[in-house]
Amino acid sequence: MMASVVTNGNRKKSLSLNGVDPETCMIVFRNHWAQVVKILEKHDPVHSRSGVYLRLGPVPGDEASAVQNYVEHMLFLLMEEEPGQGGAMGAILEFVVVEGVMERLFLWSLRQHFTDDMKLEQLRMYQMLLSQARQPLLHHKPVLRPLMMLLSSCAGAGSGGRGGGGGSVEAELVLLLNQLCGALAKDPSVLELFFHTSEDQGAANFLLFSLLIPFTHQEGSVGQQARDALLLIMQLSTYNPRVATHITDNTYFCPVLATGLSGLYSSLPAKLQVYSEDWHCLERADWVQVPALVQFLNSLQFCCSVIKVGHPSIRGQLLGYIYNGFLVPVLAPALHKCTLEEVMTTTAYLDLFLRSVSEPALLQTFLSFILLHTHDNVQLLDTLVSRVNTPFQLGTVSLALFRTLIGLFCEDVMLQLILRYLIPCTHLCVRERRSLKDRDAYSSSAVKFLFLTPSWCPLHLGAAHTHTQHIHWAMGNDVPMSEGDSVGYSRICRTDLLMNVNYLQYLWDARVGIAASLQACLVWSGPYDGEKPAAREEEDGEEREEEKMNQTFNWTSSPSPPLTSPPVTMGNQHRGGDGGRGSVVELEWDDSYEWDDSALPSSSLPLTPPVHIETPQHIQEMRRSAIMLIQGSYVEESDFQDDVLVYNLVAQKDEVEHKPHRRTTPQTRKPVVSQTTSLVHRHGTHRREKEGVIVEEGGVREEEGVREEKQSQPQLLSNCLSCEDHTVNEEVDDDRKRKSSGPHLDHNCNRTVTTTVNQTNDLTTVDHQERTTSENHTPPVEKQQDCNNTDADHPVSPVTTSAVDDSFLSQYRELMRSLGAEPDDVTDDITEFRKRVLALAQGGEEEEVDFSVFSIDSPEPKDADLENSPELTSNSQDRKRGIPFTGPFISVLLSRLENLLENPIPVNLLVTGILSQLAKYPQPLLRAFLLNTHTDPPPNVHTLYQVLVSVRVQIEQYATDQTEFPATVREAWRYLLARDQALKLRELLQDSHSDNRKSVLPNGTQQIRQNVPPCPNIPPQARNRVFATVLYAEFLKELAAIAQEHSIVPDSPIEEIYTPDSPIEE
Amino acid sequence: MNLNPFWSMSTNTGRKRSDGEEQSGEQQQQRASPARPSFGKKQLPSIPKNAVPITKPASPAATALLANGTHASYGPFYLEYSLLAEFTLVIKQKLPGIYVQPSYKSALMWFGVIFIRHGLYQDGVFKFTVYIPDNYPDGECPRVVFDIPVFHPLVDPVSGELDVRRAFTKWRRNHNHIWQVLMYARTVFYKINTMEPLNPEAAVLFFRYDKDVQLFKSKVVDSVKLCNSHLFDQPKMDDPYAISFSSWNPAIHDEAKERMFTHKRRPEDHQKGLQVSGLSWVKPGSTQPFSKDDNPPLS
Repeated sequence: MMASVVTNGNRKKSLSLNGVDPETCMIVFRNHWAQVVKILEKHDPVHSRSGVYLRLGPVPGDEASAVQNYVEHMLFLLMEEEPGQGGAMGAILEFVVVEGVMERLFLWSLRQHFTDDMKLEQLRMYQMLLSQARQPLLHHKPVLRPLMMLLSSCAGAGSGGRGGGGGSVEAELVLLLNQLCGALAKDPSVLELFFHTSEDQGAANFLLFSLLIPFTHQEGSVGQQARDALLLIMQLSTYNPRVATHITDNTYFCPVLATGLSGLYSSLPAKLQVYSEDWHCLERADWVQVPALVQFLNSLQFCCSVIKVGHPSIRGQLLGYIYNGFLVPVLAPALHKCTLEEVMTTTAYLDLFLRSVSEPALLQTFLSFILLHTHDNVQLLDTLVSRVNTPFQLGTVSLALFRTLIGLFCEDVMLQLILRYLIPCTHLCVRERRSLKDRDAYSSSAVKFLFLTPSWCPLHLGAAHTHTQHIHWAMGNDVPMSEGDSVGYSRICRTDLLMNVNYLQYLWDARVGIAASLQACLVWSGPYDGEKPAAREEEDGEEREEEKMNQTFNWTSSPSPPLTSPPVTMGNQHRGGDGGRGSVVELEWDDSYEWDDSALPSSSLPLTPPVHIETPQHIQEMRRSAIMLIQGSYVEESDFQDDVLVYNLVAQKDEVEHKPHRRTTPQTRKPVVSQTTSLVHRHGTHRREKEGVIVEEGGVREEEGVREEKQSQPQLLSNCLSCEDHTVNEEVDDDRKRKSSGPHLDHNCNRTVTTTVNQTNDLTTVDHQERTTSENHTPPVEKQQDCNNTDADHPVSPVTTSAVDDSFLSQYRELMRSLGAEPDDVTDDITEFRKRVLALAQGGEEEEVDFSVFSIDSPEPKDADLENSPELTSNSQDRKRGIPFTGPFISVLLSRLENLLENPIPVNLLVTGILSQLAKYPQPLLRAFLLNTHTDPPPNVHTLYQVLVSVRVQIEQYATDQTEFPATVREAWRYLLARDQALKLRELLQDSHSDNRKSVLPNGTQQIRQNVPPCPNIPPQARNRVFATVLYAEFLKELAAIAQEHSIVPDSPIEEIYTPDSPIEE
Repeated sequence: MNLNPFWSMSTNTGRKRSDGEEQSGEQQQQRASPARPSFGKKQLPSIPKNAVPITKPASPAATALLANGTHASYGPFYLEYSLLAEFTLVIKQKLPGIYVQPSYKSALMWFGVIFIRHGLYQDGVFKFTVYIPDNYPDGECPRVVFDIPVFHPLVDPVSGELDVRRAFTKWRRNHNHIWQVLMYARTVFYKINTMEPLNPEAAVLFFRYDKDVQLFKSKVVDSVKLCNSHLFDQPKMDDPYAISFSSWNPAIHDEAKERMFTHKRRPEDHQKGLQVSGLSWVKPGSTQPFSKDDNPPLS
């Protein structure tokens, strides 16, 4: 009731004191105060004049409201008072200070049992004073002290959760705090007073700040206000070391932020329901649908802001906590979860986070996590790289992650991913090494690339399209588009030229892209031209680096026991190419892996292998980490290539999910095992064999049929990365999921399995079968159990340990007590927080999702033996010294590309997009490796060009087998071009609707609709191949264009590129 | 002197690139920007009328034909880019006193001007044109023809053509570059060779340098004077990129001059404001990520 009065008072500004004599005001104020005091003293137990009767009963309502009314008027007078001459206090303010008006009013509200209403009233009173007073009030202790007391006594209010009152007190408290921070930012001199006032209370606390911390992760406007206020303080800290020191030494601000991220992360959906097969990264349209994700991103953004504006010491501390409190203990295990969907989801999250982090320092933290962290003795980066080669959406999502990484133009990333393998130049022959910096002056690379275009690819598709032919492969950020599509480039000497505008567009894109890369790489430390930086032994540096990291992050978890040995046997079976692919060029890098496998122990050496020597070991680790578990069966990464396999596994998984109660009984396990056997087995007998192809096609047909049903609208190739039809939801509805994916997969599975099982009789030897069975028999059970245990809702299960006397905790408790709340008497949130702080303080022990346990089941004795003899290891390492190797990432990318015809369209778009982005990097090493078209690289080196040749052979082979294929491709091409053009026009129209800069095509809409041709009737099983072929030819053009543009890049980039404007007007 | 045409190429691209920068700054931009109709911009020559659009190749033979055509149609791009690469090399060489500019109409024709700063031909300003054979780089060496035949043993007194072939008897791709031709054109005015002259009179006079030194010198001076007196003439070729000289016009040239001087300062200005910026925490010379000293990983 009284609160409402004040609330109204806030707006009762119609009253004007204009022209009223200040002395009159003063008199009125005094009178009011006298009245108030009378009532106050009547109820005051101490100052009670009579001393006879000590009334502590409830204050009568009429008296309370009388005080309220008087106070309201007094405050109004105080606010309206002009400051005295020369900055002196006005008379009223002086009176307030001398009489301790504010303190007595605060005591009065305490006297009334300090209900939420009283708190609100007091809070609003100060809000009003702060926002509207014409003279500074906070400098005066008699004003400031009751304010501080009020704040600290309100602190516990929100945590009580007692009805609705707590929430509004919280809101008002944060608003007031926000105002105070604003005042601080304007007038830092007040800061000292804040500190002093706190000291009076016995604790050197910056109360204002401490009070704000609990609201850091709050949703909605209250949280936002709190964060804004905190940022104001952060800003303050940059030039006030005392504040910075206080925050880092005496508050739990940084841990709260970091553990808050962990907490918010744990509430993110562990799996995302993905409706589109094309989906590969979380776009804005996706994540806005997931409130938890929005909240996480908000907090991440806040961390960015703090790091940006905060004092270096705060920045350092926060980054450390984010690394040790979020990335290592939470994100790393999440990236190693046991189901495919979870891992995929986490990868998509990581990608989103990378794209959301704007602050370089925080980005550095994330990147050093990705590049250098080792989880279970395996480099995280290797794990991520190996996942590129998995089918399912995990592979696609991983590709998208790397697209993001490469798009950062970060030297460290490129160094770790690619360049360090290229620096030794072992992949180049001597002649190339010398000519590394030379330009390809005569477009010979472009000639060779374009020469690969299949002979029956259309040159032009009729006059109607000739001017606008351009399929723009939307490959994300790698192809920055030009504003104007007409390329200012026409001085082609011969007028009788028949040329696709298409190619001009690629040239323009390449030019823009290269210029952007060039510009971005100006900050790099070296040119990577084969000379600088020079290759050298980096082992020492590497170890030192690791040490450094370990020292710095002294909270990192203790290393888990080393992996004994991975099941590499399966890989051995499949990896060897049997040439059934019909490719002319022997792509031997797979074989080279094999060789490495047999020669090298699958050692558990934990650290990054040095640059050029242990590359094989790298592959080892990569492969080991690639061992994936899909609900009960191991599948090595190289097995993830057939769609059939995928569907089998998924179906199997579904089956398991749907019949959990029967999981352990032998009868039901049997089919699972047999499926696994057939799967692995079938793959073991090479997939290119005829039977395999039949099976595979059966699977593909199924898949296509389903896809056709699902989206009868033709899939638009050039647009298939757009996010329109991607829907991501929290996985809540099991039924829906079952409906959407379960049936057809199960069906599919049954079909393929029967086929394969039948075939196994013909195809394979018995011992082979036994071997695979035994390998896969035992793990599933264990793993499933493990899943049951670990697949809990909380990725971070707070560690329950004996309470160590931790400074944070004690400080936290102390603080909580000082805020009037017992640490035990806290809300769920606070409890949660405490657990996190505890967990953090005790080294962030991770939840173990440890695959190594299961690898024991399928050991390879030879490897194990080798591992135990270090001299053997070093020997084999010596032997490999100088073996050319271009790194796992390039290998994976190229092997993905080689599979172009079989890959899903989004994968192909990503792979070609990443490659073209890489090709635009200006470093001669990279440029030469990707764009040189020499046909004779050193053995074991596989270049992009070689792979393209191989794909070309595949295409031609396919075209020979399927005589209608070329015609279908041409038709598809025509369709895509027309479609693309129509889309461009539509976009153009939308553009012109949104801003009227350009006037285009009246009635254009109608025209466009008519122009879109019907999708040609492509047989579903050929669809991927048809589009992949079109993509292939376009990719060749893109590469040729990039190669050509590289040859004319000016030498001194900045001067040439950024010469002033004023183009010649024609 | 208006040097603007010389820079116009890079100028042109410079502006567009910065447009592109802005675009590429948005990392998530995935779609192609729409094809906008071009207004007043250069366009690829349209398809000639007699070109029959082939919609459906009827026979395998037609397909094969088409395939050849596909590849051949890129030919002009290869030529164009080879020439652009040559031009880039020319710029890189920073040949003293020589400026060239490809013509608007054909990349095979470059306009140039050479300033002789000392020696017999001191103060000479000679305009010339470079003609590049259209089968470049597999053809003959480019020809250099002075607008006005300079009095020189190696310059044809009638056509004004410089004897380039004597230096480049056989044009070898990968070894010979157009900047070398330009360098040669400059050298002949400093180091005079009289063997097999194109202008026997000059050669003879020069050969008898000791005796007829005054005569030769006066001929050269006359020639230089003649050339310089035609400096402000309209360019011989009617081409937008032809090099033309005009007397100092503050309204035009002051601004251009200003820009040339401020040009040097630009890089730093630009580095700050640009959106596209890479990241690096690598110590120079190191191959370790996050090895920079001043940037310790997370202390």
